[in-house]
Amino acid sequence: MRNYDEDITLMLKVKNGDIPAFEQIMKKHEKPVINTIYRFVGNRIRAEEIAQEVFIKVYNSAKRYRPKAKFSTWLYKIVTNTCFDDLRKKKNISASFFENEIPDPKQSSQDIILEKDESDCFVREAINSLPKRQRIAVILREYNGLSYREISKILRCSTKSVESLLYHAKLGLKEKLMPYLKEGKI
Amino acid sequence: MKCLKARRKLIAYLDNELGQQERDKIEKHLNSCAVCSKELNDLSRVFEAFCLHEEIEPSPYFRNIVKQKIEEQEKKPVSLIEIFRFAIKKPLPKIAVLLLLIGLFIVPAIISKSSAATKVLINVEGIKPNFCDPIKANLRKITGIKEVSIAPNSSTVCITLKEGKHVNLGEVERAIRNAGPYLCKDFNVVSSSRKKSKIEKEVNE
Repeated sequence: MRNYDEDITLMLKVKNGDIPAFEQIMKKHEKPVINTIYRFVGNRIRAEEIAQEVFIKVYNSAKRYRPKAKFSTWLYKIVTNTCFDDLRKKKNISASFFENEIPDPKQSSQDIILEKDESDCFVREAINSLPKRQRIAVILREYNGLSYREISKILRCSTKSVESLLYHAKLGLKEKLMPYLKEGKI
Repeated sequence: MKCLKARRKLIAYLDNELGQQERDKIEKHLNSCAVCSKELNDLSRVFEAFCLHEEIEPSPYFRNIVKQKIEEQEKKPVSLIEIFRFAIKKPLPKIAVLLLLIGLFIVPAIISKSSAATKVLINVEGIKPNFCDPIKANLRKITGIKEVSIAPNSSTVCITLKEGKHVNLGEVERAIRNAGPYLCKDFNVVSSSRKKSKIEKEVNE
């Protein structure tokens, strides 16, 4: 609740043209925002570019900002919409997914790191195979710890729909990841 | 509770998103159903694997890049495309922006087109009142210009040229001469900012 109040106070300062307040917001949220986008698009460079777009949108929307909901809900709504816009622009996103991201086994000398990277790839590949709404719902729930209610506000649907989205998403993920779990690769 | 219903609720159960009553029902079912218990176990194992997912660090220049882009954006003038985009996104100012654009660009364009007409006034000797159709027909045929008017009881032929259109005065003379015993006395080419109707009115007078 304290964080929630802090964010809203900062955002209201940004609304009045306070640039240091905007920097504080960026400093606080840049990492979770970039990671959310990274998990969605699967590419570091693209994730940073989209995150830049997100914070520019935050800055531009500051004048119209009204603290109706939690700041994080508002922020992740922008994140989600920007990710969806990017997906529309670049339909070949899944093709670029593995471009720079899968580590080359020959390049790594440490087996532990290799194993971690490999299991990471399985998880990422499984998430990337989900439809966009299921994918973002899983990411927001699993990595950002958002409640069904918050996700419903972000995706503009009912909590029942979020429950259904996550049910189908997680069953799909289970199907994809169970074989690796059984083989002990994860 | 049946297995199918219980399984649909397992994810929400794991996410701790169920009310106490529903939780109790699920737990009661899980205690009596080995298949659903295994399913719950598998699901929780899968989502434990999510913790392995690596985190990335933002680049050290991230904030500076954002600030730089904002500064650039504020220096840049607002383009027409952005006004259109804004109008499409926001339904309320949509009509206002549309009207503004019509006012700014379309109306002046229409006015300038209609007012950019050039008139050619030809004083013709020998025109018979109410018998001018051959002149009009010849002018239209030879010069290809349709905007030709001759006022009744007048010896002035008026050709109205729209913006960008030209006429060969030699052709005009030939067309009038071929239409009958007429003689072109003089030509007056006038660029006018007045509307066509006004020009015709002037000819009529």
